[in-house]
This record gives sequence, C-alpha cells and structure tokens, in this order.
Amino acid sequence: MKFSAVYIEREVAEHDSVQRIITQVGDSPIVMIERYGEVFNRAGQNFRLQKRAPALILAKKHGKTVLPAPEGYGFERGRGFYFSHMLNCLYDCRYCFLQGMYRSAHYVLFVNFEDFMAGIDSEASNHKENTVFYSGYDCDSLAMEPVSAFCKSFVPFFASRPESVLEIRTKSTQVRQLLNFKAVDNCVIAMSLTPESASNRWEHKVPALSKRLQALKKLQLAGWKIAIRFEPVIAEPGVDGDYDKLFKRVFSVLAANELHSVSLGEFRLPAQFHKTLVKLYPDDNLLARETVRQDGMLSLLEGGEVLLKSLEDKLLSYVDRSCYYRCA
Amino acid sequence: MPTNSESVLVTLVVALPIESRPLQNFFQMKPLRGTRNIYQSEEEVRLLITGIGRSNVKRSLAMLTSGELSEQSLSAWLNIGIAGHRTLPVGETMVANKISCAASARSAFPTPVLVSRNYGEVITVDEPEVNYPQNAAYDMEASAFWDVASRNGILDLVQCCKLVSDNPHHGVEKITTALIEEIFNDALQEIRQHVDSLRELALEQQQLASDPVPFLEIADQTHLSVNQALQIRRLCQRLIVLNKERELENILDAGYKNGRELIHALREALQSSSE
Ligand code: SF4
Repeated sequence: MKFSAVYIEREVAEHDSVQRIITQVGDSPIVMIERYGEVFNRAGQNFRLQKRAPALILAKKHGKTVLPAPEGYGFERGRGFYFSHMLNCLYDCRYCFLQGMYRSAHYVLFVNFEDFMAGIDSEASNHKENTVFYSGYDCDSLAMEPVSAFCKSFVPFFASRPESVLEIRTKSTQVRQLLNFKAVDNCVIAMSLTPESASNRWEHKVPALSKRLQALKKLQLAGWKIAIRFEPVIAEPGVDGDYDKLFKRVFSVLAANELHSVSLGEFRLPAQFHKTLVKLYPDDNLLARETVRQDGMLSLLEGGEVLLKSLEDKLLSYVDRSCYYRCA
Repeated sequence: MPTNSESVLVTLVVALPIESRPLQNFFQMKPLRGTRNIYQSEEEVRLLITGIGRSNVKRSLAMLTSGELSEQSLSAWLNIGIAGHRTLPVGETMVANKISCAASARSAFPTPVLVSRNYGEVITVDEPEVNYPQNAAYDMEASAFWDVASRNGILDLVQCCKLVSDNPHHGVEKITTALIEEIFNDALQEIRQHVDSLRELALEQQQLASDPVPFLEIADQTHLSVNQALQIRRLCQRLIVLNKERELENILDAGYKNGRELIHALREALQSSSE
C-alpha cells in the first residue's frame, strides 16, 4: 500500500506493528513525529484537500480506549461500548460524519492494540450483563486490514472471550483474513448497504455492491454471523423502487434466515457536522437539500417516518421481525 | 457552478535576488508597482524576495500579508531556496516534509501534496551549517516562512522546496552566483510542476469559497444585512446545485428590493424543489 507519507510517533517506532507496516508501505516517505496532533487536525487544514492523498499516521492511543456506545446503538442486548483503533477511512462517502468531525483526512492507526484489549477486558469484567463492543465507528474496520491487522488481532482475542460480542462495521470486501479463521460465534460482521444508485453517487471508492455481496456470501457460507445495516436511507424520487431492487438482490444472495440482524436507519447528521460538510462541499447535491432539525440532528425533509415505514414493510417480507431493529 | 473568481495566486518566496532571477525569467514576471522586492506574472505567480535569515523573512512576509496585497485572491505559498545537505548531491531538489527551527527546537509538518524525487527535513539555522550533523537540508529561512505563511490561508497549501547547493563534498565556500543560477535553472521544470499542483488545489478551494454569480447580482442591487447576505448566498448556491437555476433567474427578474422577502422567495423555490 502506498501513502503520501507515513508519520510515526517516536514512542511507537519500535512497536512490532510499526516495524511490520514499514515493510508494507513501499517507498512512502517516512517522517518521525512526537504526537499525532502535530499533523492531524491542525487549524487551517482542509479535509477535502487532504482526501486527495492521505497520509498514514502510526500513533499510540492514550487515555480511555473503550467508550460507552450511544443509547440504542446496535442490535445486541447488553452493555454496549465502542472502540476506535483507527480514525478516518479509506473510502469517501459524501454523507460520512467523519468529514465533519476532523479537519484532517489522514488515517490515524493506533497500534497499541494491547491497550484496547486491556480496556475491553476491564469493561467486560466491570459488568455482569453481556457486553458488546462495536468497532468501525470512526473508520471502516476491514478496509485497511492488510496494514492494520485488526481482524488478525481482535478476532482471536474475542474468540477466547465468548461472554462478549464484537461487531465489526464495514463496507469493505477485505474478508480474506476472516476466512482464514474458523467462524467465531461471538463476532458479527455488519455490512452497511445502500441501493446501487445511491452507492454509486455518494459512496466514492467503496467496493461495488456485487463484490460486497459476494464477500458476505463467502463469510456466511463459512459460518460467520452476518448483519446487514441498510443505512443511511437517503430519500429521493424512486427510492422505494431502489430498495425493492436492493432487498431482492441481497436476499437472493444471502440466506435471510441465517442473518444475525438487519436494520434500517435514515441519513442523519449532527447539525454542526452538517455545517462543516456544507463548507467543504457547497457544490454537493445531497448537502444542498432541505433538512429538518430535531434534537440537534439534521435529516432530509423528504425522508421521515412514512418512507421508513414503507421500507420496513418491504424488508420484513424477507426477514423475521425478531432480527430487525431500526437505528436510533 | 459559476463563480466570481477563477484565479488564485501562487506566491514563491526566495531569500536572494540571485535565486529570484531564473524564476522571474521563467514565469515572465514583472516588478509589482510600488514595491522593490515583489514580482508578479500574468499567470498569477507572485515572487517575494525576503533577504537572508529568519528576521528578514518574517518582516517581508508580514508586510506582504498585512498590506494591500493581502486583499488579493487565495494564495498558495512555496518557499524555494538553496540549502546544504549531508547526503544529497548538489543540484538535487527536496520537498520538505518537516521544517524545524534549530533555535526553538520546534517542528512543523507540511502536508504531503507535492510530488518529488526527494522528501525530507529542512532545519533552519541562523548561521550557515558546515558540518551537516543530520541527514537533512540546512537553510536559513524555511521555519520563519512557515510561521508566517501558515497563518495566512490553508495550511495544506504552504510548502517548501529546497535546492541543494552544498554538501560535505562541496562546501559552502564553493557556492557562486553562477552555481545558484545553474541550480535554479535546472530545477525550473520541477518548480513549474509544484506551482501547477498548488494552483490546482488552491483553485478548487477558491471556487468552493467563491460567491455564486446570482448572489453577486443580488448583493449589487439590494441592501442586505450581513446575516441576510450569508443566507441568500447559500440559498443561491443550493438552488444552483439542485438544478433550479431557472427558478433563481425568475426570482432575480422579479427584482426584490427587500432582503427578507427575497429570502422568503428563495426558500419557497427550494422547498418546491424538494416536492
Ligand atoms: S465507509 Fe463508513 S467510515 Fe468510511 S467514508 Fe463511508 S461512511 Fe465514512
């Protein structure tokens, strides 16, 4: 893999992962830094401009590595947490909140997985009920697998902790590493899907729908638990028909009755992030549309309950209600 | 989207007149009226000669960025100059991916947007460095350039490119005006590429930040408060993006003279667009 540069925090320069990654990044220039904040999210940086040629930053995550998940996040019962071993994503979805969150498009990879694992163990032991750990909140967990070795490290870790669930949120087809393992019962691969027309329009650099479905099929056949997140639903003329086609296609490839869960969720953004996105992409059609604001979140005026209910009805003709939830 | 500005400035910053001459010729620059150390070409490349050392750079750049000339369009900044290097041969070019100030021990990291054969650290020193203790380029201006230029515009568009003039095998005492001119002449094509890359990036940002033409017409004809102007600007932008230019034209033709009514009409047009 090639990056416009690879920045390495001096503190982790000798870390095994860093030593391995250095051998994988070709002739990308390597620059030593003290703290990733020296290059990431500086005032005056521009996400859109950096997205043309992002750099990789190898850093150490300090402080809390595992945080409580927002209320209503995910399907599983039990105490929810999320952890971000990476900031930013290989893909470039126009609706992505990361563009509103960071001024930098560089990828930050925290290589001290051992501290994330300690954080996970600590939360799991602090709670009597089941614990669920979501990965892929601030990144796509699988897209960078060849560099990050995220699955390679965390899947065996969770395999030996059956009382906790790992949900890996992704749009990637990088499933080779997962297929090298025997399926792990408490590990869920959650793929976000939108209709092909929406994906082509808004999800730049994301693998084609057909490829993602093939990857999911391989995982399902190998016994992995698959979840489908039909998110974000972007309301526009013809969207009902687009979802008809999408559902038909998805459930002709995947066994609906073997899915771990399915969900629907509307396109929503914190108002402040929307404002930042408008500044970055004033020329973008999605961000020019009429919105409604509720509790600090913006969603499309054209969307709303009627549309979601109609899509829900369609979806529930394929899957059992018991494995369905609507995203908060 | 039509915009009111298609031009951006790329400002080259050099220390010495001898460094500036090949650039002046290559980019066909002329002295800017009323100045002694600033040149500009018709293709919007500007050149600032600062003099040697950090304080001269700070003074010259401060004058440029605080005076009338700062009113001009968005600028990308490129510091170009000779430097010593421990390992690179004389005549090689190097784009800075780290700029350190030897005096303060502070470092900055230009965003990697330029393509070059060599990348590396530039260490700014106050006296010529003859021992080349680190595998870096040694100059006398880059850190001061960064300090001022990075406060004026988009950080990612502040860049630095050094041309190697001396190394352990070819000491500073061998630097002549002829050598400097030769080094610069040899690097002109690469400098041209850097200028073009920066211009392209800056232009994209300039276009995004530019006012839509219909808004300029409105602002010309109607008295608007600052808040109204901001709202109308974005409403015009949105109508254009949503392919509602005809509705926008109709509203313009209606000749609203009141900002509030105009905002109302633009909103209605937008809402009809989402039905
Ligand atoms: S795949 Fe997810 S994280 Fe990546 S850009 Fe798209 S929405 Fe953002």
